[in-house]
Amino acid sequence: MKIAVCVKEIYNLEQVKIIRETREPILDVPKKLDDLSKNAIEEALRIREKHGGEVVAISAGSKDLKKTIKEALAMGADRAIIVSEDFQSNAENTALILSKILSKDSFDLILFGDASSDEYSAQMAPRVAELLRIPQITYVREIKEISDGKIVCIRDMDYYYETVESNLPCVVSVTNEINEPRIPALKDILKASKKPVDVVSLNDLKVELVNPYQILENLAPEIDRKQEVIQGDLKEVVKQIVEVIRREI
Amino acid sequence: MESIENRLGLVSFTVDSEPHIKPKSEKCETCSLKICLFICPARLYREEDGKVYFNHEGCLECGTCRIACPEDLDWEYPKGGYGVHYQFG
Amino acid sequence: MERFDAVVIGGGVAGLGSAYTMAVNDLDVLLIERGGNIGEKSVYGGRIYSWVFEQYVKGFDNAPVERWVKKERLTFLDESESVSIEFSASRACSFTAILTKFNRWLSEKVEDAGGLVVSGVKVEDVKREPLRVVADGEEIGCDVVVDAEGVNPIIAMKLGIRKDWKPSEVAVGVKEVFKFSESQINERFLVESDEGLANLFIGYPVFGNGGGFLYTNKDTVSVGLVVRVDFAMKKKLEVYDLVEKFRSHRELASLLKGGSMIEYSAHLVPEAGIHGVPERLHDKNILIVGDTAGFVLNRGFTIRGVDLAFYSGVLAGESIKKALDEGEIALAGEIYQRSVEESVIMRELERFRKALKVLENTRLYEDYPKTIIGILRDVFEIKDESKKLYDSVMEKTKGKKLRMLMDVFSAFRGL
Ligand SMILES: Cc1cc2nc3c(=O)[nH]c(=O)nc-3n(C[C@H](O)[C@H](O)[C@H](O)COP(=O)(O)OP(=O)(O)OC[C@H]3O[C@@H](n4cnc5c(N)ncnc54)[C@H](O)[C@@H]3O)c2cc1C
Ligand code: SF4
Ligand code: SF4
Repeated sequence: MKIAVCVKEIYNLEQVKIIRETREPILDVPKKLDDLSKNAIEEALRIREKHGGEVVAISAGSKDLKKTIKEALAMGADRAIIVSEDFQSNAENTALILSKILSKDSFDLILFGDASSDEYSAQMAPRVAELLRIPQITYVREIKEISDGKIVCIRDMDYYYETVESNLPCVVSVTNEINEPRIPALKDILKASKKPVDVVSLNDLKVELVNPYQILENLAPEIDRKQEVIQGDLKEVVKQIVEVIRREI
Repeated sequence: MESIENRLGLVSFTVDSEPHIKPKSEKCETCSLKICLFICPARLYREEDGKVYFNHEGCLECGTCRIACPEDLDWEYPKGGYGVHYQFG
Repeated sequence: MERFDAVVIGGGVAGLGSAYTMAVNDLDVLLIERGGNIGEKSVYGGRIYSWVFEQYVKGFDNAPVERWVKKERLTFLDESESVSIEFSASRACSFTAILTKFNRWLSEKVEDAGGLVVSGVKVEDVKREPLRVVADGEEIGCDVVVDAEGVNPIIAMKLGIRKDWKPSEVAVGVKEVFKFSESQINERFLVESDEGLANLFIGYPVFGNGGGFLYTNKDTVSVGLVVRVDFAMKKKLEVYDLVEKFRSHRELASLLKGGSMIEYSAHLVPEAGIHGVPERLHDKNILIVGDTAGFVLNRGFTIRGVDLAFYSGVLAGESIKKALDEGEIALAGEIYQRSVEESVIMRELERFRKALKVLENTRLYEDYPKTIIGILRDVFEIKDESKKLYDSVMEKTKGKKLRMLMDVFSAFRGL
């Protein structure tokens, strides 16, 4: 099996600070591999363990990606193909780039996280499947079987589970239910530094980027903290807290 | 005024369930100075009914308590990747 | 077992300096940092002396410099008033920087030069015969270890290379960072966009061994205090509230008005000068650098550790290279020891041996800020009858003139 895993680098959201007065975020924080991308990598590794083959991590991102992609390699991906330069980042452009990279090779299975924790638009897998003109199965919580050029997955539809079969090659996007991503040990991190990373330029790929929309403003939601401090005797305090909770719900 | 709690709220942490600093409670009981109560820049040592309580969440990893505590404080850095994440150090 | 020529413990400026030097010299080097990302555990005041980076790091032009320090201000504070002296320099020899970002930039330099940098992994132990570093339950073999773990020398103590600090040998520093706009900073501190101010404070609220600092970055301001641990213990200072008190002083409040606090941090800093440096900086092929070795110069109004830490890393790297070339790695420590002793690091520490005595003198922090402020208040505050400068000086220094004169004299000689 030749498996591609499309992964995304995101800002380490837990570390983003918000300027209280203006509600602007300070985006000077380290990047990391998105958690759902790790679920996708983990699933690929498990399939490789069972069926053999190769796991290739593929991503388009900023200059920091050269570093971030090592997380995927440390987890166990065999190699990576990345675009690591500044470009107008939007779902359409990323889909164009990824599908261009994917089309240069023949993968049996293309895995995605079903969304990313920063934008949560859940568009990437469907867009890429569409561009590559191959079938897609989204919201997959379990891959049941892969055999005879077919894949069987269970989709999480919130109110019911749907079992779907498709021909390979196929795009599959996974939810965080599907597995618990492994945490690489030091020896895996050291090994990762020797794995090949193919950095391709947008020029070489000859992708025509588009610019369909602009982000005008990016502000944190207003949080109205009441900053009530309750002090005093423990019994009294508990009573008062219960009172406050009652009032507020 | 910004209370120490508010100031710690500005700092991002990845908290390990296992504390990396462990005051020895039997030593604390007889400790006359209880320096940790005021020397810790994060105010993580508190006293209640004569007992010293320590909360490792919010530790700024300075090591001041390690130096100041007259007893042999069980002090380590958090595990790799855990603890405080400064952005403007 | 994985093997490297050298393993560096800690990705602070000292560890990065040694890793960079070794990588540039084509050694197979691995640096291990416990922080999830390089730089996230390093905390300092705010200014870096540039000489060593200009001299040794290729592409220093692209370093994350915030502002070049062109204005030096010394402020005496009592509870409510202040006196400042300002020096405006025509050329700068230091710049303000965020150490987190600066170290991150250095780590990229190490990687560009071929060194391997791993973060999020803590070194637990170093074992000898054969030399191994233990981390993450694994052992990594190497010819030489550079211990750059910083001011808490947990591993160096375990290895018996250095003793722990006494409370009188270290100070605790607390820092807050405030966000402004770049133009706000330019206007408030009367500086151009690439120029900055370094402001040091003596007196309130510590009134003892320590003082305050304020550094202007591009669009942030770093403010904080340093206080010696023994002094804080003696006076039972509530360290968690110290910076709060400092910041609420009229002088500071007006400098910080309109800023938004974005971070609070704390760190220890060696303050013993030459007395904090162990006689032996190594155990054959295990070398200590930076804060672990005590290479920090405290001149009262400035703390200087970053350039010395980096330079000690450079010397360690060069010594290791030399020892490997000579085929006798066990000599690395000896070569390093000699090169440090002959270097600017020891010369500077030696030169400021006297400063430590002067800084011991608590009158410097307690009496003098109040005396100076008192004199100037007398001169400038006119209620009915004005006071002459001469009269005020005589009155405010009654009975302590000789002592003051001697203090001033020794301060000049020592600092
Ligand atoms: C409040 C304050 C103000 C200061 N102001 C200035 C100033 O304005 N100018 C100046 O030049 N100097 C200043 N200094 C001094 C300067 O910060 C230090 O001397 C310098 O940063 C020391 O660098 P280092 O690499 O030795 O230590 P550190 O920067 O502390 O680096 C040590 C690194 O090792 C890592 N580490 C520790 N243990 C392990 C382990 N077991 N495994 C893996 N990694 C580990 C740590 O996470 C850390 O990243 C100041 C210091 C303080 C505290
Ligand atoms: S100073 Fe040390 S021994 Fe004393 S109370 Fe605090 S932790 Fe316990
Ligand atoms: S290391 Fe520093 S912040 Fe952490 S508990 Fe000790 S004194 Fe407090």
